[in-house]
Amino acid sequence: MIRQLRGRAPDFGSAPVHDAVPTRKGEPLLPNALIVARREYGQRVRTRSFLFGTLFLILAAFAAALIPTIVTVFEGQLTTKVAVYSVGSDLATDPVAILEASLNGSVAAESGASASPTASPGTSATSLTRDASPGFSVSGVSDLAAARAALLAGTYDGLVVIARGAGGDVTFDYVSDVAPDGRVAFYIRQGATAITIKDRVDRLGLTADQATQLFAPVVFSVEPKDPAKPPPSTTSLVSRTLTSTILIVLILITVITYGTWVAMSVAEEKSSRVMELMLSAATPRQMLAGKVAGTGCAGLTQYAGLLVAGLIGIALQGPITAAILPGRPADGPSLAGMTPDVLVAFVLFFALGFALYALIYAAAGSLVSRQEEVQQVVTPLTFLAMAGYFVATFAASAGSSALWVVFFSYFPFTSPYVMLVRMVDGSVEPWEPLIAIAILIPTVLAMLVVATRVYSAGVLLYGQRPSLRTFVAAMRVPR
Amino acid sequence: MTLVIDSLTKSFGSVRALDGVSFDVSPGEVFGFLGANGAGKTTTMRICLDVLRPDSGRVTWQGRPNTEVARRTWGYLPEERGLYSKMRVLDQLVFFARLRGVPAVDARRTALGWLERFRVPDYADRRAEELSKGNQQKIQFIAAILHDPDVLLLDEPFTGLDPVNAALLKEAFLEMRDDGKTIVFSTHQMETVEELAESIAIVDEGRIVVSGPVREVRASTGRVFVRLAVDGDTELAWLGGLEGVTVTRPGQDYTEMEVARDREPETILRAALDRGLRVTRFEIADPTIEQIFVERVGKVASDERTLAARAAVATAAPAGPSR
Repeated sequence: MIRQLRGRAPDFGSAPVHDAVPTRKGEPLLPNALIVARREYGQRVRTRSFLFGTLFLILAAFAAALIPTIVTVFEGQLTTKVAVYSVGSDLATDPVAILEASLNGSVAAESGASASPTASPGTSATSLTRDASPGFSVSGVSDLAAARAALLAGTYDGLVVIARGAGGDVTFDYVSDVAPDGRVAFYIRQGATAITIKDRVDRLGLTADQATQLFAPVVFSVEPKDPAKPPPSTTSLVSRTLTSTILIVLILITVITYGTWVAMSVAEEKSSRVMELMLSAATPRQMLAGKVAGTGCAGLTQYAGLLVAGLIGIALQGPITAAILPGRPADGPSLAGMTPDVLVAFVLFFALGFALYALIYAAAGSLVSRQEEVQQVVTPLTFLAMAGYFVATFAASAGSSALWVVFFSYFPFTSPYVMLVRMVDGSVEPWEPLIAIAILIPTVLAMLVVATRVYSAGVLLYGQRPSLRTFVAAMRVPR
Repeated sequence: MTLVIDSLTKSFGSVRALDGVSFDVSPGEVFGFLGANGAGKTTTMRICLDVLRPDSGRVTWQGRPNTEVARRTWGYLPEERGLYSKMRVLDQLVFFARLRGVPAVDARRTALGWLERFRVPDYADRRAEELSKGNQQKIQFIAAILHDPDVLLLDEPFTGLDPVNAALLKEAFLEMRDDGKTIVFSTHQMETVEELAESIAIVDEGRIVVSGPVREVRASTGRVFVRLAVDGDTELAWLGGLEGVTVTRPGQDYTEMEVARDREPETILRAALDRGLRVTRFEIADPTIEQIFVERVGKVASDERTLAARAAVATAAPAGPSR
């Protein structure tokens, strides 16, 4: 017999799947699916990997939420010290005050309402309100040689030398090690411009009122083509991309990690032979539905922890910043587009998308005999899940009104990703996600039928090499 | 009011796993189901449980087809043992009972009672993987009966148990019989069959070769055996000179011989006494179930011939044996 086995080349193409667990009428999904789900959930959340994974995610969310605060704290301690020396003090207004106001973004400049002479023409008011700008301390010096020595000794980071040029305008030399095209040089240049203009105004002999009038901001506004759909600002666009990336990455991670859990759990039941007992106690459909639901809930538990930690972190930002750096406002991370309806849609798409993929993982897991073989069947599914993610990523960059993007936002294997991206983008009508969900629900139910067929045959299968062919053969076993 | 297994046939690809298997078992009866590995015992039990469907034939319980009988009617101890290794023992017992519709509170109470009875109450909170094989088997037995099923299908329930545990299990076994449960069990231990079973069936390559009440099966062969022991002589070389006597089991404790039909067994006792030997044991017996098994199946019961191995030969697929 053994010789006979050895004598023939293994025929991997054949998939001798002969039988399947029959489906019986009149056996409802509940309560057994629920009992299986509860076991699956209870066992999953008790594992060490779940505990540490959740803790890690919570810490990461907390840290991410606090990053702006941390950045503010660190930047607050970095002050660039600038010395100002004026050759001949014929400037009507003290250049130190102007420079300081310009560098540290005076409130007047920020509001843009008052006509500050320090605002240079052509520079919009927002360019002066720098997010968490590094602090500058500006001081005037009267001894150039001493100032240069102090600069070399590191007392100052830079030295501004102001002189009167041949054409009557003031000239500036900034002595420092900063890059000529860097941020600091740019800010100093802005300050220098402000000083020059104030100087010109003073020399023209305008009254204060005239000066104010001269620099009154122009009336300028951007009107949207369609007043009902105002386009988002640039910062809001960046923030929206961040929001949709977070959402689809969460779905991708869930599908891959928890999907693998489902497959592992099925394979474990087979390899430990507890399946024999399970088959006499529950139907394959009950087992499948329970497994996917239980594992999915474990995933949702992890994200609930993550969400709560993130929210607490964001809520704590203000108090922490205020405690460490009084008087400095914290910039919260803004997740534009994270509206309540997007959150509701996320939970729905998350649940349905996960169910769809996890059912395939479960069916695939039923085809292997040992847990070591799980990786083989899971890898192609991981690629499948990643494909949906990449489509969504391209969709986010391509603009969400392209025809193919619209198509994939309805296609059930990609709609959980792509429709979410489109929703965050704000370019969908309210009924569009509903249609995507309406397509997704029957697809999940159909997948439950297909997966049950494969699973019913797969659980009786031992020693077969799992392949797509086995999968199809298992699905087509007559019963 | 009986379990009727009626002409089951079942093929897996080109392998005929069952070929007209029929027998029936009454409530309160213990039925021994014998056969080599791969003979079709597990397939028959799976068909009873409706985990597999037969190609033809049917199974009925109390006149109703098994496909309409509630799952909780059956208690099943699979031959391939398996528990959730990371799950606590009590939790899994409750889990399996709940799947069969037993409320959690009742399941818990009954499970604790059984753990107590099987002298393993401390294991309730242990993980299954921490238990020895024998103890895991006891847990599985409890899992099979916790929902108080009417029919018990026990695949090799005594294999791998030490004598003390085997006795505990047998006691529970007989108690359930007295409660009117219908019990079908398979085993390789022929002494256990003779000890517990009222009726048996021997299955070989999917066909029933012998079946009926144990007493009738043993008497039906017409063969007669004599067991003889005398003081001071374990060789009994003189038996070879007697016509119509074949030694079937030489042994230190006693010697067993088959006696031809035309010869009276008492002549052997007379021959021993004539030689002046002191006879300490003389017994006329029907053949044992083991002897019948060997005669009908033609090989020893523990011969490994799994279905998967048969399938491998038949299809030349790279299927390994089932474990």
